[in-house]
Amino acid sequence: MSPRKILVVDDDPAVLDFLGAKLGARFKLVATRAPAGVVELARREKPDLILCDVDMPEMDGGDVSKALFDDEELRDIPVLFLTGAASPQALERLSGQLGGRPALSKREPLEKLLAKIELLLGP
Amino acid sequence: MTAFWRKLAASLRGFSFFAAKSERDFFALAITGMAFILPFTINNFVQGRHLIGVVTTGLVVWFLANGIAVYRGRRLMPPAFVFLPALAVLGFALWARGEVAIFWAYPAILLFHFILAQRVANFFNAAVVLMAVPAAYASFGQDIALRVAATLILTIVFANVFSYLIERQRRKEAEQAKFAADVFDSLPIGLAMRDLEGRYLFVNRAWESFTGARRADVIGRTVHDRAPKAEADAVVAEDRAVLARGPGAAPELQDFAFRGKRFMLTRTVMTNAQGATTGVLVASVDTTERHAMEQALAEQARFEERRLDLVVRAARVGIVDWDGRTHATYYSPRLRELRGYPPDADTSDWPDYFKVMIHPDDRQRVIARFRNYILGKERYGPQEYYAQEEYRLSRADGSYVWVQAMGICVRDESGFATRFIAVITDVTERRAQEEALRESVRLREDVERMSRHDLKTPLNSVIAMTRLLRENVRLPADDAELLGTIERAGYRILNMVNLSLDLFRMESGTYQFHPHAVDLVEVARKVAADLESQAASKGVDIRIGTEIPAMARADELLCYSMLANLVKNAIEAAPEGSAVSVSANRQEDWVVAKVHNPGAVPEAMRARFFQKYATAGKSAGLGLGTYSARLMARVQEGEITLQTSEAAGTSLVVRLKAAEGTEARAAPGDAAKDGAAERSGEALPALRVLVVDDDEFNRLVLRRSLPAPPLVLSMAVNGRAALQAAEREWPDVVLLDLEMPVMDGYQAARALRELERRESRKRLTIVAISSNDEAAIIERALAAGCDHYLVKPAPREALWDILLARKRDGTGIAAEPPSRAGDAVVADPDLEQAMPAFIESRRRLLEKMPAALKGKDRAAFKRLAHQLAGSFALYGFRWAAERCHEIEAAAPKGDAADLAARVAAVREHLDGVTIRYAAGAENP
Repeated sequence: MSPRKILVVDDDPAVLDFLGAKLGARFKLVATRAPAGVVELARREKPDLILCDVDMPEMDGGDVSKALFDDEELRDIPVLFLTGAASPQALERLSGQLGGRPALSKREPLEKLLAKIELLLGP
Repeated sequence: MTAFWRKLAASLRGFSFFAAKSERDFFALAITGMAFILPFTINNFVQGRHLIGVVTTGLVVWFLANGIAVYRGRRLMPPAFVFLPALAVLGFALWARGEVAIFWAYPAILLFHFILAQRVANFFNAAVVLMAVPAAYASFGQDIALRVAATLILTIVFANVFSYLIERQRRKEAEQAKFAADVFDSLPIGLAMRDLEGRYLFVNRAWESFTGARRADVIGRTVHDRAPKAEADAVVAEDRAVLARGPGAAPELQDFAFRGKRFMLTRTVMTNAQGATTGVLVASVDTTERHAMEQALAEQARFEERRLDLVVRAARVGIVDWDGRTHATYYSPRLRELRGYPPDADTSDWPDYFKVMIHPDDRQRVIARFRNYILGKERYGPQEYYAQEEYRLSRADGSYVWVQAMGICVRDESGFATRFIAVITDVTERRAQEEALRESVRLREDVERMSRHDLKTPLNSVIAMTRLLRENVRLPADDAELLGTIERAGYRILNMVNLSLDLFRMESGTYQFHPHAVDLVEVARKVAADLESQAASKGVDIRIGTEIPAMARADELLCYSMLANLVKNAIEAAPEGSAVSVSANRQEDWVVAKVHNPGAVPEAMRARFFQKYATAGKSAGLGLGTYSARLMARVQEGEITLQTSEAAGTSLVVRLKAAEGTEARAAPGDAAKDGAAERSGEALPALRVLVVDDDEFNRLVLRRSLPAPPLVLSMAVNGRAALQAAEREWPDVVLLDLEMPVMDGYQAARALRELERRESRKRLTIVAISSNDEAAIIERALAAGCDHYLVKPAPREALWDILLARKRDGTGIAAEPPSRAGDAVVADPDLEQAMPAFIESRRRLLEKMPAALKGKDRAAFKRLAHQLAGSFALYGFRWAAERCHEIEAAAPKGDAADLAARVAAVREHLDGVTIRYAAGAENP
């Protein structure tokens, strides 16, 4: 089975570097710093999962999520918010959801992120 | 005609040649003229020419009479009149003896020219020619008459030329003489020349002013004519002494006192062109002022010396005078005494001051500093003053004396000290006093602090027990309320103790001020509400005079305490039925709050109004209110001042710096309370909890506040007992008191962590519980291995939160221990390559933050903090991530300076942190 493709969206290149280093071996990663181009990129790349930052200038995670949801073709691609804004406890209180999408704090250990990704990608 | 004669007489008087002749010269000339003419007169009588004889005899008599008159100092007539008869006689002679008389015309012409002014002489000459030429014509005919006329005119021309030359020479000499006289007069040096007989030949103007004598009165006179005999004898004796040495001897400078003034003078023997001694020239300079100045300086120097001597004696200081080149050292008598020697002891065999006399423990320090000093290598370059320092100096009996030294030095052009003079004072006694004072202050502080802490422990028990009773026992409502009252009273005492601890920290300067934007109007409202009943009981009305928020850069709790103190005092001081008004306004960079009451502070109280323990007519109260209020204002970088008068009443004016933001910070702790409330419904997990406390009440309180089951509790009375208990049965959570006998909490925490590591036990959650809330103590506890720190009385919610967190971590993985700035960052090895770029990019982000803060772009600032917090967490920079997260939270309303400092701390951490790479790093 070919490695599954994840589209990573974050305005901070350091985060993209990190995810590249930690997830690059297991998944095929497509990274972008421009949230405005996510829909177009997703159409072209057809990722299996979109990992998206929440707090970004110009277009935030909510906007990205809405744009994806509004697109017939992309509506079913799972989106996982990765945020530094909320603590693990705060997210826990929100049942791990932000705007109807699953979300994970950047402060959580990597294992949790991997587990969540596996969960969303399914078998 | 009379006008002519007057004019003639005037011209003769003013005429130089004649005027230059002295009266005596003129007399001589008259006698000579008479003697010359007399033989010819006698001859006329002998020849029988009686008429002409009589006429010439008349001329002789005229000359003689005039000469005698001049000799007697009188003059019969103007000099020219002497010659009119001469002319008349010549005319008569020509008429009577024609041819022979013509020869007399020649000497007459010359005589007129020698004696009379040129113009007058020419007038007489013309008369002579007019008489002689017709006489020659009559006697000898035309040829001879022409020759006589020609020779007479030629004689007149020669005489005129000769007169002119003499006159020119005379004028030149007169000019030179005047120039020399003017030069001498312009000199500030007194000049006087005396001849060999002591007569004044010449004096100048300076000499006149020195002596007070006028030159007209002294020229030609002797010293004895001018001065008293004694003075004149002395002057003449000096002149003779100089003349005896002869000309050419080097002039000697003489100091000379004269009529209350002082002069410096020289005597020079003068000679003429032929080398003959002509007299003595005395030149003198007035040195009175200079002499007086020198006298004054000398007097002052003597006085300074005496004063220094007095100071040295009075201060009982020793002096060390050290030569930087030869190292020769002078020790003053007092210094010898300091070292236990007699004041007149011989110091020539004393050893090196620095290398031997100074106590070995002080030696290195003193020598190092002194060396830098003399070489001019101190931090701010060569200094003249050697600031005081203290060290021990050896004494004759082998003991040491504590001295204080300070000094000054003289430096050469390269900055090296060539001479050093130090003042050495015995400070043994002072040091002993200081030490005693320090000791007593330390003791007092210790006692104060201990009593405060000791007070807190039983107080905590009182509060906690009451609460337990109230919560766990079904009591009648009245009793429950009574218990509630006890609990509240306990909290009030606790608050007082805490405040006094805070005050103690403020006094000792260890209080840490965390500024926020605080609305003083809002605080005033709270204070007014809380003190309403107290005010009402006295019939005093509290009025808040402002509606607009006034945001101060302050600490809300401190502001509350401060205003509450001031308002409480105001209520007490206000007359019954009056009003206390409180206002707060922004004034430029300050927020000014004013608490006013119509009463005046008694005169006697005003000066010590803000002093500790100052009270006036109050039965209760320690006099700490205004004192602590001012302390709190100062800790918040503000000030409180008092304005009071019988007419205007009393105003206490609080000035605090204005905050930059405009919104009040949410009351601290609100969010935490909400979180705890949310979770309080959650069931506690079945955890093994070990309670370690030497105080049985504390153990009891904890036992009662922790439900078992589901918890399994065990107790230990000190650290050692706790270790034994843990070895028997490894707990999940340890609640650890810090101050315990046998083995304290710090040791216990370290030992437990060691055990955990050595035997690969499940990770413990260690919670330190203490009544001490000092930052240093908390840090120490965390460093010893504690995960959490709770201040007694530990609220049950906080404890439950910790236990619940333990549950949520599920598998017994404890919450991460708090990170510290100095901790090494443990990063994933996969990130090693990306790390340098990551750190560099974080630096750039951090660099943008101060600018955003300065530009008041709080949104941008927050975004940066957010970005940093997220990425730091991912890369394993736990401490930095937490700090950035805090910065992000405080970004909208926090104090700019505080935020900037926090950013700087992160930056510093980033620059200095060690990074280790280890697999599974993110998962502790």
